[in-house]
Amino acid sequence: MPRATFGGVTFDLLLSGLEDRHEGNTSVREIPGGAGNHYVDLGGHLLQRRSVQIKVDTEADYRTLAALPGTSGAAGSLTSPAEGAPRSVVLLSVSRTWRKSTGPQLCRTEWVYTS
Amino acid sequence: MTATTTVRTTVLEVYVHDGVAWQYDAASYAASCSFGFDQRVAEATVRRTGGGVVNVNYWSPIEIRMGCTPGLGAAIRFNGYVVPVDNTLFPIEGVLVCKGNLYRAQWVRNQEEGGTDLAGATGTPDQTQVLNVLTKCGVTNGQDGGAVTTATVGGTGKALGSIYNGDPDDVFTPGPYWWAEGEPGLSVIERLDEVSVPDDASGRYRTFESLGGTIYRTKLATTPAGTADFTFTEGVDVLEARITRDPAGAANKVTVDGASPPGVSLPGHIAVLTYTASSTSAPYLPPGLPLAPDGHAYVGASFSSPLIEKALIADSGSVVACQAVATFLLAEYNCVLDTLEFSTPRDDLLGPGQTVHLHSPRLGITSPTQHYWLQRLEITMDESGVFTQRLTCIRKS
Repeated sequence: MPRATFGGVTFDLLLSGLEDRHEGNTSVREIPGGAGNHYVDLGGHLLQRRSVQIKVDTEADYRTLAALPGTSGAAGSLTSPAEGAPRSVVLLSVSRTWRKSTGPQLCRTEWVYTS
Repeated sequence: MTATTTVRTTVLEVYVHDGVAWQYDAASYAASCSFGFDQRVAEATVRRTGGGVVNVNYWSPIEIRMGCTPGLGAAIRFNGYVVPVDNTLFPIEGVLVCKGNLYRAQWVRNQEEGGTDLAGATGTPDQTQVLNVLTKCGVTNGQDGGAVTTATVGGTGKALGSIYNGDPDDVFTPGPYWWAEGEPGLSVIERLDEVSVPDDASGRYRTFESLGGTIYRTKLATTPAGTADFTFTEGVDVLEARITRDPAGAANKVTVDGASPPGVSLPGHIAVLTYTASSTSAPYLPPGLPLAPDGHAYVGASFSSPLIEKALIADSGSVVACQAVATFLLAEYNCVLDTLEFSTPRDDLLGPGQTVHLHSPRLGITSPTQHYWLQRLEITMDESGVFTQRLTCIRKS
């Protein structure tokens, strides 16, 4: 399980369920009533997005991350040595189900890579 | 028939002039431009994310280029001004509402105290009057296009106002060829345009602007040419289409009233110059209409303008005649109007006034000579980069 850091918080990236999305603005239109002519308009690429579950070590780490989405502080590097050179990334959201204890805990996060 | 797949890269480039040079606006991501003889000036909207380094304000000159590769690529689709700017707080999105260069004439009002006599004592050709108004309003062919000149602004060449430009004994009522104080320039231009019919009644001059922002004044009739500029085919390059045939507003008799110059009226009775053009052929009329003494039924339309200074073409004076205007309008009114609307992904340099052909068995358009006159064009690049052109065409039948 690789360790990664963001916003000064170090956490585990759970590879199970990790989803990277690479999408582009592509429109496929079929001309109706004919032999099946198509127009495929390529409108450029979109940024890579990642949805991943992380495990933070403490409630304090969770609170640090939870304060970042929607702020300028959300931009930084999601450093995971296994993926090579760190890339600029923005933290879009952090979510968790309610839990009683304040120890290590799992969170669902969404990221967008900006470089 | 073999299916084909056209893969193309779409491109949108928006440039805003900051007073020094054109600046590329990287924040723009979608645009829509519309041109047509059913709207006074060209219009466009540009959607952009907030921020950016380009200084945009009201009256900033703007140029929109978009298209496809393969295709025309980043061709100029709009040239005009940003008026006004519309911003949304969150998500941060700005909409630049743009108007064509002709919008200056719609916005600028005459500031000359008491108004401006456009015709003078001996009359002035309509194209010269229009040019004078455009110049006073500061209308140009865009930031880089230079002044509007007779190279693109035509007219009948008649000395309009040479016979009647108001009652010289009435100092309170402005003459018909006066540009009133506080009146928008485009209103005067439209008033001149609607009577600018040459003696052969082959068309009527209309002031409009091209996709590139150049101001034109050419003779127009809503009649398609014999050869189509562009041909479209159902099942090949047409996304959706519809046609309506509507006889509303049709007429087989047109009466045109002109000015009321001295000598026409009698005491207690104000008369005007007039001419009625009619045709017995009108297959669109509902049955059972009362018949005129000549045994035919008529439905009339009328038009009046004090800028028309003689009744018959043969009458003396180099001015517009009621007869010419009535003959032109009869050809426009005496028909059922087919309105064809369709959209295409094709990237052609279309423009209002062109002749287009659509082959569509489902709509019953199969004759190779059944062309349509392009009245309105809308060019769109949406936020996903999808390029579409929407055409509204008309045909008299």
